[in-house]
Amino acid sequence: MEKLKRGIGAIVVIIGITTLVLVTVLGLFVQKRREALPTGLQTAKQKQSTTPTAIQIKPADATDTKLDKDFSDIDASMNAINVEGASIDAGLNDQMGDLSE
Amino acid sequence: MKKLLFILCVTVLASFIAPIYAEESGLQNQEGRQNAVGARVTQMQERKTTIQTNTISRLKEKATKEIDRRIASLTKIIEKIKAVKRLTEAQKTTMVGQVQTEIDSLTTLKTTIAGLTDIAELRTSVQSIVKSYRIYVLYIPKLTIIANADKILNLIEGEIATLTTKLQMRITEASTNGFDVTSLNSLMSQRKTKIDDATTQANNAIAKVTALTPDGWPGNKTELQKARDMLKTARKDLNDAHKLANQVRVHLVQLKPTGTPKPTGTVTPTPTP
Repeated sequence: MEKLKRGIGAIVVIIGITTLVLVTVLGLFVQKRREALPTGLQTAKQKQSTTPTAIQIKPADATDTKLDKDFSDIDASMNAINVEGASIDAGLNDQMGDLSE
Repeated sequence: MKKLLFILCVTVLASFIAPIYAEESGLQNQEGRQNAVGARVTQMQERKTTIQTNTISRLKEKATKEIDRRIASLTKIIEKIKAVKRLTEAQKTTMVGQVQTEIDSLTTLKTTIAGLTDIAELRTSVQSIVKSYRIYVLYIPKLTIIANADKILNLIEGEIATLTTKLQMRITEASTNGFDVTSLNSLMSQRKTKIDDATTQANNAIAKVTALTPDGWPGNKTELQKARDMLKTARKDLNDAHKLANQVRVHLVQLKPTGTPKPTGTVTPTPTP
């Protein structure tokens, strides 16, 4: 009986140590993978995971007039974004000034 | 006989004097020619100096114009970086530092070029402008892409999210009043798909360009082009989403004004997600 108890105890200890080692190795692996990611990617991933905060809106804010204003504001913002988008092409197709003489 | 002797003497004498005179006269001509050549050389040198001075002046003007153009663009881009919400403060500081270093370098180069009078030295300095072009030509599109993606995400998380909540509120109200809102929910669902895709595209565009450095130029130009295309898709998604939102609004207006909703017996309001 004593021997059986000792045997079980040894198995439990071995399983415990093995689990600890596995968890440590897994932890180190995950940490290394995170470190290997470029900073930009990390930021993008962090930002992607963030959930936008809930917006508190009253029924009075959703009238036809208020919606008209929201649509017009979004139109303006989208126009600005589209204009800036066109400047990306300008940057990519930039030609150096003539420096020949 | 005497006459003949006189003529002979004169001829002999003339044959002696003539070469000396000719030589004297030739020397005088040569001297004149030399003077003329000297004057021409001086003229040519003056002309050469004038041409070189003009070349230096034109080259300086062109170099200054190119430097000023780059400094102006880089200064604008610093303001854009500072406004980006999706970069950490450390990333912003690094990017602003890189751009500022380039501005400082161009400013120093501009001063150096302004003080140069030797054409060879000037040409060497102008070559620095050519060499530093890859820094400029990477930073401008890279940082514009980040700024544009950031604005797209700000719009989605701000004004568009608010509009979504308001439209959803109106749809719920219509549903509560007994109107069939199935088509409205379908439009909202299509709109959400577009907005989600725009979000993904904008985040991916930022991730694609953030790590690009001038060392990888021109190889990394294709990465910039891919990111540019992602943002094109994102902007198209937003335009489509906005059109869908507009359809929802038009539909809601048609439902509202009667004041007397359709009989509820035959209508099964669809629950809003």
